[in-house]
Amino acid sequence: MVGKERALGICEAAISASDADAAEAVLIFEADSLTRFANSEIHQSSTVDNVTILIRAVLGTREGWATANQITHDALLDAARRAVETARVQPETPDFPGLAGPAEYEEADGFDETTAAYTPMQRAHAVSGIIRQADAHELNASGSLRTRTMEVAVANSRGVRAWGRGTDASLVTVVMTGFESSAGSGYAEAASRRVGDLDFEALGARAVQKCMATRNPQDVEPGEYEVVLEPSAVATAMQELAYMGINGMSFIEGRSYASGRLGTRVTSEAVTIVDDWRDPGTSPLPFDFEGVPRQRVPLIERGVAVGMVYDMAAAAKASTQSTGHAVPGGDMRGGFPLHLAMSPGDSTIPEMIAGIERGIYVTRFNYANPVHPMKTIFTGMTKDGTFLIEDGKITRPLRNLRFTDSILDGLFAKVTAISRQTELSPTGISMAIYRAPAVRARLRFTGSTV
Amino acid sequence: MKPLEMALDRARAAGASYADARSLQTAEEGLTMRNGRVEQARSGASFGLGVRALVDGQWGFAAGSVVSEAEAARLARLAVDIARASGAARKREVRLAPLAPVVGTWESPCRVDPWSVPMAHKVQLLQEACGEAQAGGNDVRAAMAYMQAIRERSDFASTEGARIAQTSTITSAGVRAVAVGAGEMQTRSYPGTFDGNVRQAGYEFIEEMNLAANARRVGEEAQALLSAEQCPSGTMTLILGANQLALQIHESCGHPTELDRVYGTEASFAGTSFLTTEKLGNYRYGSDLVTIYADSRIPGGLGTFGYDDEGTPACRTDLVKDGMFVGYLMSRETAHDLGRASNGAMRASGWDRMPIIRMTNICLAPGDETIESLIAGTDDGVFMDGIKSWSIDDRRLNFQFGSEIGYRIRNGRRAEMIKNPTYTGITPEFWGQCDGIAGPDEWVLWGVPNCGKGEPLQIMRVGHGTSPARFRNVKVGVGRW
Repeated sequence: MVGKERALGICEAAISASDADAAEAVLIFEADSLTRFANSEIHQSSTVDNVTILIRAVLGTREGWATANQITHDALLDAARRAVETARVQPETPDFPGLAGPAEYEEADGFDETTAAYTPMQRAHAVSGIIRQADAHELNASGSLRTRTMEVAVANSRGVRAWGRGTDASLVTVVMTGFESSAGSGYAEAASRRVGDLDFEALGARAVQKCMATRNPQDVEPGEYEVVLEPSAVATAMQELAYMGINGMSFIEGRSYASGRLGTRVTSEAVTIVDDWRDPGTSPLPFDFEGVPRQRVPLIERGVAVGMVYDMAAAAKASTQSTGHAVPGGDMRGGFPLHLAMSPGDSTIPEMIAGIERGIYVTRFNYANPVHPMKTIFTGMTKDGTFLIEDGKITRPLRNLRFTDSILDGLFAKVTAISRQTELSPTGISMAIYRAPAVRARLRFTGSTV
Repeated sequence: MKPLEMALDRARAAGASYADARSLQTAEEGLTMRNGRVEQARSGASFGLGVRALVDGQWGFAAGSVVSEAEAARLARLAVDIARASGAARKREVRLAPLAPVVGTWESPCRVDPWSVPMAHKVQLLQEACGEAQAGGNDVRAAMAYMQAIRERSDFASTEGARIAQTSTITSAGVRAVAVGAGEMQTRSYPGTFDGNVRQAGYEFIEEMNLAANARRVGEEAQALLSAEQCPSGTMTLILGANQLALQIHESCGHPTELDRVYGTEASFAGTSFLTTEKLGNYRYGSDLVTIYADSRIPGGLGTFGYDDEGTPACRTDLVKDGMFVGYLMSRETAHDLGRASNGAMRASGWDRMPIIRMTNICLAPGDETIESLIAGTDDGVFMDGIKSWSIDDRRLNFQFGSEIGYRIRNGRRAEMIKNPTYTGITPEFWGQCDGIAGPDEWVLWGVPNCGKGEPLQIMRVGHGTSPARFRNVKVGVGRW
C-alpha cells in the first residue's frame, strides 16, 4: 500500500513538476495475487505489485498524457515533461472542458484488511477444498482464486484531492468429467470486496453437482427458446451492453442503443438497470479518474432508457455534467460503468423453471462478443451447465449452444420474471463487480457445438 | 543484469531447483485523432522485474515495479514461498524439457526511429487521414486515425546459465470511419481492424501505409454500407479476405494448437482444445491445400523474437501440413510431457506476468490462385473482409465471425455490396472445405495486438500471414436482423 498522504503527495509532486497551464495526476497502486488450479492441482500462482502514475498536461485547450511506474523524482519530472511535450504539438480542442474542480466526496472505504493480507498459503488451502470435493467424485477441477488491493489518488492544479482504496476477491471454478465432447462440466463463481464472503465449500459443491448432472449432453434444434439464465449469464449480457452502448461519447455520436431513445421503452418493463457505486459488496470508489464525484446513474428504469454515464469530455459535448465515470488516462472516452446492477424481482429459479413447458436452462455464457453494437446484437456459447426444460422440470443436459440475439430487442425485451436473489459477478476489470439476478426470458439459439 | 543475478542467487538459496528472472523496460507513444481533433495523446514508460521459481516441482511467480537488487531478492523469496504454498495441492512435479542455455542478444529491424520523427509530422499525417475519411460520406459520424510506437528492452537470466538481451521496436497505424444513419451503424478500417496493422518495424512502416490515400475509400465504404443489402442467409461459397482470414487462423488453428490448452491448464478461462494428443500426426484438420505453420523468425512479425521467454531460440514448426494436424505450440514443461523439445512459444505480456504458451506468427502457406481466380470460380457466394465480430467455443470447434464488409458473388463476378456479413462453422469441416488459396503476391503479414489468455489476463501481440482463400458450403448470414 502507498497510503493516502504519500499517494496524494506523489500526485502533488507530479503536478508541481509540470510547467503546463494546468495538470492532473492519477496514481493507481495494485497488488494482485492469484492462484490458478487445473487438473485438480495448483499450476500457476503469482503476486504482482505495481504503481502507475498518469499525468495530464493542459496547455490552453490542448492536452497530453504521460505514464510512468517508477516513483522517483527523476521519473516524475520525465513524465511531466513528456506530457507537456505531447500536449504542445496538438491542435486546439475548442470544446475541451478543462480539469475538474475541487469537490466533496462521500466517505467510502471498500478496503478489507483480511483480503489485503490473504497469503499464498491461504489461497492454496481455499482451492484445495474445492479440489478435494472434485477428487471425491473423480472429477477434474480447475479455476482461480484472486485477491486484489487497489488504491487510487487523483489530484489536479485546480485543487482536486481525492483518495480511495478497495479490495476485491473472486473465485471461479469449472469442474469437469474430462475434456471430450461428451464430458460433463459444472461452474460456480463468486465475487466480493471481502474474501471472507466467498463460501468455497458451497461453490465447490455447486460446481461438482452441476458437473455430474451434465454428463452425456444431448443435441437440441436451434431456434428461439424460453430460457432461464443464471445470474452469471445475465451479468455477461450486462457487460456486453456496457461495451456496446453505455458510454456518453457513443450516445452523443448516435452509436449507442440509447441514442435518440431516452424516455422510450428499450426492454421489458421488468428490467431496471442502474450503475450504483454504493452497492454493498462491490468496491465503492466515490470518485472517478478525473476526480469527479461518482453518481448513481439509473440507465434503464422499468424498461425505459433513462440515463447515460459521462466523463467530462462527453459531458461537455452533450452540454451536461459528468456523472463521474471517467476511466484512467483518457481511455474509452465517454465513460464506463463499473458497478452495474439489475434490480431484483419477486421470483425464484425453481418457480421460473416450473412455469416453462419447453425451454433451456443456462448456467453461463462463454466468449460473448458484440455482433452489431447499435442493435445490441451479441453472440456467444452457453457453457458448464446447459439443460433442457420440459413440462416445468429440468430433464436432460444439452451440448453447448451458440446464441445470436439482441440483448435489448431480444433477450431483455422478453424478460417475464426476475429472481429475488442477486449475485455478484467478477468482470475482470479492476474494481468492477456487477450484480445480477436470474431471469426468465427468451433467447435465439443459432447453432451447437459438436 | 545485477538485479537478475541477485534474484537467481536468492531463489537458489531459498530452495529453487530452477529459476529465471526477466526485467522489461518499455517506452510507448500513442496518438489518436477523432474527427480531426486529438482524442488521446500519450507517452508511457514502464519498468519492472518478474521472478519465476520452481520449488519441489511447483511454480511460483512474483513481480514488482521496483528494479533493484534488494527488491529482486524480496521477489525471489516471495516466488519461492508461493511455489511452496502451491505444494499444498500438488499431484505431479513439473519437469522441463532440456534446453542448452544461450548467451545472446537480438534486436528487431527498425530503419526510422519513431522517436526521431517530430510529433507535429505525426499529428499532420493523422489529421489528413481523418479529414479524408470524414469526407467519404455525410453520415460518417466518427473518423479516427491512430498510431503507436513501442520499444521494449528485456533482459532474461536463468539458473541454467542463459543470459539474453532483446530489443523490439513496434509500430502501428490505421484509420477507421464509423457511419451512422437510420438505426444502422457501419464501420470500415484500413489496413485492418486491430490498430490498423502492427509490425516490429520503425516509422517507415507507418509511412508505407499511405493512410490518407486510403482513408477516403474507408469513409466511402462506411457510408455505402448504410444502404447496402443485408447479407443473405444460407449455405454458399465464402471467400475470405486476408484480414478476416487472419482471425480465422488465430481462433481456429492458433489457439487449439497451444499445448497448455490441450493439457487442460486453461480449462477454466481460455478453454481447452479439440486437437488432443492422440490426434497428432493422424488427424485431418483441413483439405490437402491447407498448410499452417508457426514461425517466430519472420522479419517484422509481432510473434518474432530471438528467443522466447524461457530462452528457447526462435524456430519454424508446422502445425498443419497438407491438411494433416502435425504440431503444437509448446513450452519446456509441456514439451517434456509430450516427449519433445520446446519449440519456443512461451511468452509473457509484460514484466508482471508469468510466461504461458502463446502464438508466435501463425501463417497459412500461400497457394497458387489469385483473388480474381477465386471469384471467377464461384457461381454463388459471398466475399467478406475486415474483422468485426468473433466468438468460438471453448474447444475451438463452433465459431461465428462477422466482417466489416461483404460483396455478393454471382456467376464468377463480384456483385453488390452487402452489410453485416457473418458466417459460422465447425473448425475441421470449415478447413476441409478450403479449395483455393491465393498466392504469395497477396500474402499479408498481420499483427494482432490484442490476444487475451491467462489469468491474470495477458494481452499478447501475435502475427498471422495469410492470403485470401475460398471455402465451399459455408453457412452465412447468421442471426436475425
